[in-house]
Amino acid sequence: MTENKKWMRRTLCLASAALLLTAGAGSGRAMAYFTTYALASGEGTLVLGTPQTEITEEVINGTKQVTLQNIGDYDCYVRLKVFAADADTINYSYSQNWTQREDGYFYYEPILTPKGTEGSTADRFDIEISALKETPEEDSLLPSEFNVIVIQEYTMVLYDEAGSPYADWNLAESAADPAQE
Amino acid sequence: MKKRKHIITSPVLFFSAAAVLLLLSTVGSTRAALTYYSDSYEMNVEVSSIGVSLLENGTIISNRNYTEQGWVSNHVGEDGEPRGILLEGRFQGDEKLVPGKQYEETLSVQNSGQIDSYVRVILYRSWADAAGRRDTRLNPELIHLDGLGETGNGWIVDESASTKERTVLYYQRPLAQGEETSLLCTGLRIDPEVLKKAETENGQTSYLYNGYRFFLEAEVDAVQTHNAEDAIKSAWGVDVSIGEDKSLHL
Repeated sequence: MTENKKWMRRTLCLASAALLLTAGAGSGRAMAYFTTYALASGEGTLVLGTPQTEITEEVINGTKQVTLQNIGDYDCYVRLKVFAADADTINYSYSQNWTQREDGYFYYEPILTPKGTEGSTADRFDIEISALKETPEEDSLLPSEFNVIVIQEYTMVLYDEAGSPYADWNLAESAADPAQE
Repeated sequence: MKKRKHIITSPVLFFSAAAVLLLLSTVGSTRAALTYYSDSYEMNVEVSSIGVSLLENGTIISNRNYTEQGWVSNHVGEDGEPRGILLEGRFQGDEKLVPGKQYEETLSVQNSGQIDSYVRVILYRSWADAAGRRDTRLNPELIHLDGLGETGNGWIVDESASTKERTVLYYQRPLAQGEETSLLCTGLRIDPEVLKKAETENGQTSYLYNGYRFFLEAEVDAVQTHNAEDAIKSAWGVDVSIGEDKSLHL
């Protein structure tokens, strides 16, 4: 009787295994779906550098002529601010590309392009020192020293989502030590 | 003794039945194989072949189509996979990538097979140093793909499967033969935030992201529309539902 049970159990196990195998043979086809794929990859290098600018100042006949130039490899915006002991004695002369804003800075609106390119130099910015102009050279009242300090700053050109360039002056850096005459 | 004989006969019967079933399943395959050489089957091959292509700025850069010659791809990588090149010839050498500036980078998918299919795209973004070592300290979200995941363009983002580095998108409508999806993205832009990760020492500014390489990878998957829910579950391991209008929902 026990032997019979063993036979029965073995038989059932083998039969179940056979059925599972048969079912498995069928399910293989049922799970085959049409699929495909394609891949792509790429890269770029981010090179970040600081723009470099140069300020040139020359005093001719009581006028300080200021020129700013991009001498680096990156586009940049520039602005400058003028400090004088007596602001009433100075006048400014500049092209329409320069704009004075409420913060006291003069902003050069066009982008200064990298060195060696056509747009790398800003239009000249003139500071007329009237005290010097109006005083005859031989006048004994001619001040021996008249301080006009020009601070120039630059910042990288950024672009908004629409692709329009803008300047973030929070990232600005000074080009050099303030120049004075 | 008679009972014992009966017991012995039973497994024989079971095995015979199993053998017959197995044989029948083989016959089924043979029947299919016979059809393979018939005229009508040749036509069926054309109808049932699947294919998908990835387009960058309107040009197919990677595809894998089933044809009479088997699987065919126009670009095969060293690993034998259908692998195209993104951003080829750009942002290398003298061409400097300006933070914030949008560069043209449109991606779309085309059904280049002969059957309708659902498609999805998995995009990976990452940073690596000059030696190619991936640097997870740097934020992959600063590699912007403009328009990615915008509502109304037909693509839906699987937020549960997406991370900072990976974005999984499904195209809601099935693509007919030759049909192209709407644009997955419209432009590439490096967030100007990269400029704020900088240190200045002795008047010299050094940027954390300077010299780093950004990587963009795309994987496009396509699956048949017939029995789509089961097919997608089987192929992609994702539970989706297909609406009456055949639109796919996560």
